[in-house]
Amino acid sequence: MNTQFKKGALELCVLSQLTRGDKYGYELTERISVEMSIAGGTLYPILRKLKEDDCVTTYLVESESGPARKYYRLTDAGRQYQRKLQQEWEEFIKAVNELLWN
Amino acid sequence: MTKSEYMEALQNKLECFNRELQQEIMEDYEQHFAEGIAAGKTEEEIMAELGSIEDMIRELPEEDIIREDADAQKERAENSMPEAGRQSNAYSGEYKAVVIDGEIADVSLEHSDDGQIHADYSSGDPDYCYYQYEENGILYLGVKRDQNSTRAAKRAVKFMLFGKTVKVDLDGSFEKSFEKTFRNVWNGGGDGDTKLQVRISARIPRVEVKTRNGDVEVQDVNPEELSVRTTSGDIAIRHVTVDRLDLNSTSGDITAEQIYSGSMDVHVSSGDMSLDNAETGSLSFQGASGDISGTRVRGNVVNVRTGSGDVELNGAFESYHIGTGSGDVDVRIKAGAKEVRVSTGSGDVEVDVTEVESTEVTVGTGSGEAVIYGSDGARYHVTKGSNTVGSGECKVLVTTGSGDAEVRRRG
Repeated sequence: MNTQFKKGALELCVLSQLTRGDKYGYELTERISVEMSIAGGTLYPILRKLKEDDCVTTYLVESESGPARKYYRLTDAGRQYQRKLQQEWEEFIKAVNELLWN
Repeated sequence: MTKSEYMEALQNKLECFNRELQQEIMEDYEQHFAEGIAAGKTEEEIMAELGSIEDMIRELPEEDIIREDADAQKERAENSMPEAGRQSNAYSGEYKAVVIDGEIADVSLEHSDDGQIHADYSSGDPDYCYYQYEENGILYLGVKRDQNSTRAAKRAVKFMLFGKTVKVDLDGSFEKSFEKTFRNVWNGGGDGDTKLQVRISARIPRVEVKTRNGDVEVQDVNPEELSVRTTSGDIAIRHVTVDRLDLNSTSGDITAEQIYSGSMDVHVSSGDMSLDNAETGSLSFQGASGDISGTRVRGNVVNVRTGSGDVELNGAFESYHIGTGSGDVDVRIKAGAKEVRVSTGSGDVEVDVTEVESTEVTVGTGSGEAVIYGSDGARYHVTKGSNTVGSGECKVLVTTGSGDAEVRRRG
């Protein structure tokens, strides 16, 4: 899949996954990798930016696998932002589809 | 790459960002590795999933950068290069390596008398310019397409997208990001009037020269390592003393003479290679359809592999390993040889052994005709199968599929 496509959509994918519950970084990359191939490392800058923009908060949970897991939780602002992006995304694919088929 | 190397590379790339960011990303990655290992993955699998560090770095916000890293300096240097035309530069001789990328230019590399490095560039092509930068003690210099070039025709690029040809007129920013991927699409061919003449001091340990279609001429230099690569340019190299010599050309020809090296590796694809007067510990030739010829070459081991290219070799090595598909082989062997192995598919073989005390010659052929001449003039004829003559110290083994073979022993 075109990397430029993925780049723009990745933030929305991350946010949308978080609407279904708190997740830690590895879990998110695993989930997204099921649907498309991504450089998993690129999620961390995205998550970091979302935190700086107060779209998510983080908390640590001890883990048996080693270092504590950093969970990401969507804030109200994050939820709003996700809805806004989703709406834009839907308009966008609708427009692209229109141009593809008609 | 191991995990610790990956993490070290990550740390290095993060150096130019603020501490807090560095720490967080490093922790994220550590956590990611720990989770992956716990899930039964190998370090390699996890690294593959994490992907390229550069891709991740590009996602980090610029405002977190506290100082420029080497790559950024490089980019800046490349973008702020002087006008094309004619230019002379001198640099101190203290570099651990010099990397020259001539691209379309003909490159000549020679010895510098004053201990400094000199680069003289001249071109009639306004689309190209000279560049240089320094990174980790290595001097990079060469010729690149000028990003400020204003020729309208070259500001449009065609490429394939979803099976359709798309033509895009590029503005500056597009051009920059697309150039890396599509530079070959719009780069014109070398017109022969772009030249880069470099003179290096004796103290440079490693020198690399590469071009796309420019020719390369090297003479009178002696770095420890010298590597010359070109796609379609020719390589001529003369009077060079090195520990390691690598020559690589896809379709250009290579000629080398007066070479003294610890090891010499030559790769040609469709170009021909000729080597005259050389002394090297080991000599390795690999070719596809190009012919290989070596005269007056001495050393310990010679390895030659070609597909359809012919091999002609006249020299003194202890050990010979020569193999071709359909190429013919003509080898003249002198004193000191202990082991000679030649095999071809359909190529014919001629081996001449002179000044060797005693030999054991074995010739095998599938459907070809084979003849062994003893030093006493006796003639042994071999058809289908193999035959051995003599039991001396120098073992000569020739095998062909359908090719003919002839081995001569001379006193």
